[in-house]
Amino acid sequence: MDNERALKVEMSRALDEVLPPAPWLEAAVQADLRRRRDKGKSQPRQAMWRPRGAMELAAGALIIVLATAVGAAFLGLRYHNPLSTPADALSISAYQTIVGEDVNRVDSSLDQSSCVTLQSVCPAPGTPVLNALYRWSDDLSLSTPPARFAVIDVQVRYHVKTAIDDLNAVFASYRARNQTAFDNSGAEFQRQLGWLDAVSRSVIYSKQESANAHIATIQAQKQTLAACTECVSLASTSQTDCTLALMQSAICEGDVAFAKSAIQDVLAAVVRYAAPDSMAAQDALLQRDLAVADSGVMRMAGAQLTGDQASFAEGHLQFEQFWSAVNADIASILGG
Amino acid sequence: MAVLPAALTLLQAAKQGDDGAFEILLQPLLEPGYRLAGGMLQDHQAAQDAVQDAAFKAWRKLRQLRDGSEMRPWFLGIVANECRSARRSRWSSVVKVIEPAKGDASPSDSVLNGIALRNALRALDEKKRLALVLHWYLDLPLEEVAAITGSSVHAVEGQVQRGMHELRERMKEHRG
Repeated sequence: MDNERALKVEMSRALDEVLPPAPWLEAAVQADLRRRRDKGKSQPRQAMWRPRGAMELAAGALIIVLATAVGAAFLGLRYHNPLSTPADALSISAYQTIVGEDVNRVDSSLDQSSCVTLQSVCPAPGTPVLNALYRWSDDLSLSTPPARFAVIDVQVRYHVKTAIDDLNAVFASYRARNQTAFDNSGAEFQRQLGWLDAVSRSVIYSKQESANAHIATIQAQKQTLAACTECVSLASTSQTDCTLALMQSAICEGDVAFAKSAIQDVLAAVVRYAAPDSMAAQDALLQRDLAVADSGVMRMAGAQLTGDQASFAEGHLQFEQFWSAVNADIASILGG
Repeated sequence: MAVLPAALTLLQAAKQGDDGAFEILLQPLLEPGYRLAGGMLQDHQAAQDAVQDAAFKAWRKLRQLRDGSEMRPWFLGIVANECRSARRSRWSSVVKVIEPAKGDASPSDSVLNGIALRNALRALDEKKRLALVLHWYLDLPLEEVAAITGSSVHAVEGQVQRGMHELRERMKEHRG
């Protein structure tokens, strides 16, 4: 018993060493809460698709343009053969090895790069990470994925490229000493890294399941999406808290963050627990629709940082349309 | 554990949108939340971030807290979830403040011991680490640890015992 008490005291002391008292914590949390809440209260609520006065025509035209663009993308993706495999495609294990090496390279580069802040001295801020991302991008360009990873490969390329752009924007704002731009690009960069971290590991550990096991996987993903009340709200223009006027409110930021996380989790699960060959076509369609919904919600999140209403509206429309498609795909897999 | 009437009134007010009432309820929970996050993440900046995010999520989800439920286990459960998300994303620390350079002096035995213990704690699986941090570091009773983790008291007791055993074994190895 004395031994246990000694270990307990020792553990508390060890943790106290890395956890200094935080007398500022209460003030910091309250300020942060008020900032996030006030963003939601400072602007009047209004319907997203009902702009008034002189803006009405322009907004109407924008919606038509967006609907056409998203519709075209939708048709192009859904009716493109999801299972065509070029002759020079890599084997599954060879592709997983390449992704694994790229992930390890980013891992090591993160160990080498300690800081990217305006307040600290960074001799070569983040450069090893940038180099690792460029290498990843090159590897993806030079290889043709096997059919199982054809959809996710496109989405990984998109996130790697965006991460590179974001990190370059971090450097540019660092050099310009522009704190707002620095914070925004830094947050965007983190968002891309978080996605790549989760989804690329699903590629590395991907295993093909039996039909019964895959049905159970899809059933579980259906529940994940059903539990995402924020996704349902975002997908319904009549119920959403994310009107254009309130796109930067705390509630809307929360909705987008939860939706992003749910879509990412489902996409990662579908890639990791791959469908058997007999269900591969349906699975590819589900992955594609999830990928477009993912791009939509990522776009909304990016637009929230910069206040870009057009980009937010485009992402929102994309998410809304492909949310329905994802649910239809899941119903089709479970029903068939 | 009964909920005090005054707290219940505050809770009702907070649920009805009284932000001041929410802040009053939250205030005594911040320090244990910070210690929990610090114990789990072993980084004071990450711990503060986890508590801030948990506070915002608690504000957003307050209506989901059932009447008659206690706020502390509910809030600490949210903090534990935030820690889980923070740890899951291994690539989340690129944009952060650089740690101050370490001095050249040789570390003392007690410093080395502290490092070994933190490493040993980090090596535990998440459930055991959470149970140990809540029960030993925050001094919470097993019943409350069970409420926070959504486990039975019996299961929590087992996690604490096994976690303690593993810690002790690792420290024996460290001391040679």
